[in-house]
Amino acid sequence: MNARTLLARLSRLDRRAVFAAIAVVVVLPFLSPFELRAKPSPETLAFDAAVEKAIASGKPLLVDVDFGPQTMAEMEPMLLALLDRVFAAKCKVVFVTFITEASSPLRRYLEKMEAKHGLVYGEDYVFLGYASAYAYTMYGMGTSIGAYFHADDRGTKIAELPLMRRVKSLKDVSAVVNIAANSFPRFWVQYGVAPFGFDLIVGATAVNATDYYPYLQTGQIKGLLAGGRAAAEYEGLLVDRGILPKAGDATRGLGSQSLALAVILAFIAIGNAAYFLGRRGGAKGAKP
Amino acid sequence: MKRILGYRLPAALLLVLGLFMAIQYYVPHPLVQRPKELILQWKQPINAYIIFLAIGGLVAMHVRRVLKRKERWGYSVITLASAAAMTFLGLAYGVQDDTVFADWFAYLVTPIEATMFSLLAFFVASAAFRAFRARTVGATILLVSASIVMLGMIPTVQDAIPPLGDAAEFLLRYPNTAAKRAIMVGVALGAISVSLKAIFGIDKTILTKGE
Amino acid sequence: MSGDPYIWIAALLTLGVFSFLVEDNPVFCAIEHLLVGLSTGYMFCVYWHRVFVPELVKPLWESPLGAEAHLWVVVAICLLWSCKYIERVKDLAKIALAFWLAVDLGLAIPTEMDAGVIAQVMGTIDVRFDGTPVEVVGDLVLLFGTVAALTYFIFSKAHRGVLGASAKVGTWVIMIGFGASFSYTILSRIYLLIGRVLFLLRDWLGVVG
Repeated sequence: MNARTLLARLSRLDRRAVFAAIAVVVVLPFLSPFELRAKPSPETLAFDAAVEKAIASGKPLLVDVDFGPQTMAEMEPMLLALLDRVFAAKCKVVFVTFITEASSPLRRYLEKMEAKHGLVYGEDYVFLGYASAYAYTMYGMGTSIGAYFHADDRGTKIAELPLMRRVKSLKDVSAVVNIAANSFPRFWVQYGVAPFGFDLIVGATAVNATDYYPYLQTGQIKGLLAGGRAAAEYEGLLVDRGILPKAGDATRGLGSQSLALAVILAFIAIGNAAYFLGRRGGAKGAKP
Repeated sequence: MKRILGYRLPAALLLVLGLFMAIQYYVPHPLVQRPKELILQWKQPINAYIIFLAIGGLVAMHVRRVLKRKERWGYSVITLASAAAMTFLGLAYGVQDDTVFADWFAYLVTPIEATMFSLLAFFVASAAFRAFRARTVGATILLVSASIVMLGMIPTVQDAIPPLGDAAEFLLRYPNTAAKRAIMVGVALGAISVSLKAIFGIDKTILTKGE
Repeated sequence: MSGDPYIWIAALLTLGVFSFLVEDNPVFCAIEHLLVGLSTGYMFCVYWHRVFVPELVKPLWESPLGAEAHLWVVVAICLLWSCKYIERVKDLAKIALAFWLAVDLGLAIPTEMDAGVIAQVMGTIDVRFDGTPVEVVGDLVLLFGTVAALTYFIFSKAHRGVLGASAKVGTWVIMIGFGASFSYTILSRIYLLIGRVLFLLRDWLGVVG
């Protein structure tokens, strides 16, 4: 069997064989003791620098969490690393979400953080809960948060929360961090940064991240974590600084991600090699 | 009367309110900002009501399917029963963390949704294998660019061939930014144009349909 | 292996969804419809508890003619919106729709101009000639690449001569952008699968720490 025939047969492989190959290369690294480390990209370093600057200002932070179960695997490590960093620095944080599916998981994360860092609700952090009409609420929060949230997620009136007596509008926060699996960072830029000019720091899925590079270049976004790999980079930075005792799930997934990428590249190479050899063979066959 | 209430009044409202919302962006005076604050506050509960209407429509569709014994009506029974159960749990016991409602979300909804989206990993690999061919110059550029970025994302490759990582970073930071920026500016100009045309009634919209 | 019944239910649902990879089957369809129902119920309850009651019902109940009296406008708009289901008065729903569109479209004009056009143009023409050689080359690629890609979207003139050449270069720039997006899409999807595999291996089977 020559190379062209072999490649032609491989390029017609049943899709279930492709699925099986992907499943194997994702599972295997978990069963091995090796762990990869990712070198932080400039965007991840910018995210880190922006978060440190926000913490150093002494003002509270606003964190908008906008991901649901669909993208939890990519976004959860990012959010947990960020929360560990800000709460370890005793930074006060106001949380909000603009998607319904984030409110339940976010409550569980905050419960864990409260126990881990000894936080007091209402003083160290507040969860305002879910708000709909995201763009207009973002725009309105620039002048008054209380007008859009009569009560927090637990039903307590905003005026009764000590932290919310300090945070009346977006002008009272050091920065807005948006951990989003959708295009909400774009709306924060459009309805928040453009009219009110605060620092916006973004954690996004890799799918959406390439769309935010123009905002990063203009300075409308101060830092960007682009997907699970960037989350692994950020975990690595926090481990190096002693803030995290060990890396989280994002770093654990690096081995699987790298192997899967290599396999997909191999598939693309096989497919293209078969295509070009087939074209050349067809052209040769056509000659008289 | 139908003409006034159904067409003229909505068009006038669209014009006046649309222009007001555009102009208020540049006018900080409280006389302009206070009505704007109220209008933005109204959006949230109206949004909730629209969602309730949409949910009502979905439920009605499934109920019709069951009553008329249409194809796959058994699955509609599953939908209606699970919707009713979840709604009962949420309304009766609340949506806080220590409720069955929250547990059902964490252990039923979350795994199903997460797994549905994880199927995409398999399909994107299969699609890349079957369809990603360098047939034209544009496709070749796309393929080369994707390959450089993918290889640059593998830590061991990045460590072994540092220029590959730098090349991937360059592609993301400059040509990718140029492309996305061009699309962004085009979309922004298009949105502004469509908004102006709709507000001034130049374009036929759903409001003027049937006039 | 986990002893928590909830984890077992989650694992079985996960495997049920994965069964779609072999072929479409009734188990997958049933799980699909279960998701639709549960999500609908979840969304209704969150909107009810977190938006409708605290932002409309409660303020009006506590002070119907006080500081929150403006919320009666919301009630009126909601009633107008409901008119679309009644044949005789369905045109009244257009008043509610006009309100909704006016706010969306009106606010989009200045914000898109500010964030989407002016800021982006300023970023494009800002070439840092005092940067490193890579930065200078990159900024020039950014400037000319953006202009070329924009010329590709001019469809009111035929792509000939200078415009044609520019549009061709623009196409290549856009292809590079799509290539980067494609690779990041693959990265993203793989992580979603990694999450499920980690759940099955760690939380359910307990074979990894």
